[in-house]
Amino acid sequence: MSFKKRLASFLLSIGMVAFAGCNDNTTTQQTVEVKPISIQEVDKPAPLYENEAINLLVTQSGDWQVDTEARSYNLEVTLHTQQLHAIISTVSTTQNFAGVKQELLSSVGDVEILSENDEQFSFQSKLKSPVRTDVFIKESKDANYHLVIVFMSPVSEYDRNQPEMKDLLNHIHFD
Amino acid sequence: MKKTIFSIVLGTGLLLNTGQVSALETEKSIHPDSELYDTSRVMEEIEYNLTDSLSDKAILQDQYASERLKESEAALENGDSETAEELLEEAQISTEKSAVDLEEAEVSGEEISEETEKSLAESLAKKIAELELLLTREDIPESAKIGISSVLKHVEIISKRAEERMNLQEQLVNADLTEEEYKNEMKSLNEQFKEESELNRSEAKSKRNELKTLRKETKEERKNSKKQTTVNSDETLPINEEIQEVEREIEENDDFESTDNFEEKISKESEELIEHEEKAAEQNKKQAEKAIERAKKEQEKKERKEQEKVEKSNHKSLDKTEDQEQDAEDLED
Repeated sequence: MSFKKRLASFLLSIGMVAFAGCNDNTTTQQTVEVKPISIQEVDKPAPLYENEAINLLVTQSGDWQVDTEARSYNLEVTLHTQQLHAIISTVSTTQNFAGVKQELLSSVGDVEILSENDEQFSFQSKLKSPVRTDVFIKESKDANYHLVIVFMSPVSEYDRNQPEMKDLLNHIHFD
Repeated sequence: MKKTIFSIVLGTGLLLNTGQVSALETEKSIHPDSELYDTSRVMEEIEYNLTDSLSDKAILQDQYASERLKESEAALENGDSETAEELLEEAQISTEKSAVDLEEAEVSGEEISEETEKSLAESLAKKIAELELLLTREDIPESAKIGISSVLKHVEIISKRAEERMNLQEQLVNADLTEEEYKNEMKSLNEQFKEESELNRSEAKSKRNELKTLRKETKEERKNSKKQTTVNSDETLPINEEIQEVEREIEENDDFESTDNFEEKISKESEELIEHEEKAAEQNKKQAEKAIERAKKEQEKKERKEQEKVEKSNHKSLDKTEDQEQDAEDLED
């Protein structure tokens, strides 16, 4: 084999190695760059309240603010926006809707029941300036607890507060 | 009208006093051990803060006081006297707040319906009756009784003040008092009430503390006497275990018993323990004596055996010398 041919084959092999090396770098860079960005991550609002231990997430909505978080037998988070207050409590799965309703009603004295269905009931106090209470019970097949969400506001403010209530209910995620 | 209300209050109070069945027992309430108990307390707080009307606030506080009384009765039924005492204290605070809110409502010129005044007065009478009934129960610990009498005293003060306030209002309506005089009288009445309720609270607190220290002292005395009488022998181990068991029992039952019963039990148990220990000591003594006798006998046996041995060896050596002498004589012959 002549010297020229040897040189050509040598240069060709160096070129091949260099090309392969460059190509590999490009692939790595592409892997980093092409990391899939979830659409949910982009759209998901910042958490207003998060409890990783029980997979409970309340995302930002309206002017809602977290006031307190208490953990005794169960978790209890209080929030408010203007004249509307909310309590998010966890109860064991042994508690059913009827039980929660009975216990809460026995603790509130003389009240007038306004409405009730399978997962919600409402009542108001019999006073000059009554306060309305709306109780929702949310169950999840995957979670080992139920959520009891209580909304309280003066009756005079109820209509104005309804959208805020619905908004917060839609921002509570647990499983 | 106001006199009518007061007579209703007294009448209701008397009627309730004669009743044997507790009024609170028949009413439902959330149990302090319930998962939703804390939620219900937060709901109370929010409701109170959202309520603008002072007379409504007074009604709510009165309602909360009744709830606390029911809950404390439930806690007592469960033998949880500590929670019961805390709840009684809260009942007292709520009753006080109710009275203050009603007074502020009157001073601020808020219209208070006759129905509201009537229901609050009736509720006070009901509480007095309920507390008096609780005091007659024998199964309630002494410290809880102190709490109950303190709340009772307080509710009575509030009831008395309500009566005095009504008299002042009547005098104002009849123009026996000017508005300024009325305000001054009300102010001094409030101050007097504050002083009385503070005194009542501090009295109850000091009584409770006295009771606590008495309990501690009795416990320490018991422990010390136990240490002195403990004997370090195998025979006394079961007794020590028994002492520990009794102590554990006492600690467990500490909250559920009145001090009288508590002390009686302690003295009985300590007498029993002393008897046990005396018996054990006697047994120890007897066994030691027996052991000494046994040892003496063994010693004597040993001595006897040794003597016999010595005697035998002496005999043998004598025999030997005799034989040797005989042999020597034979040789000479």
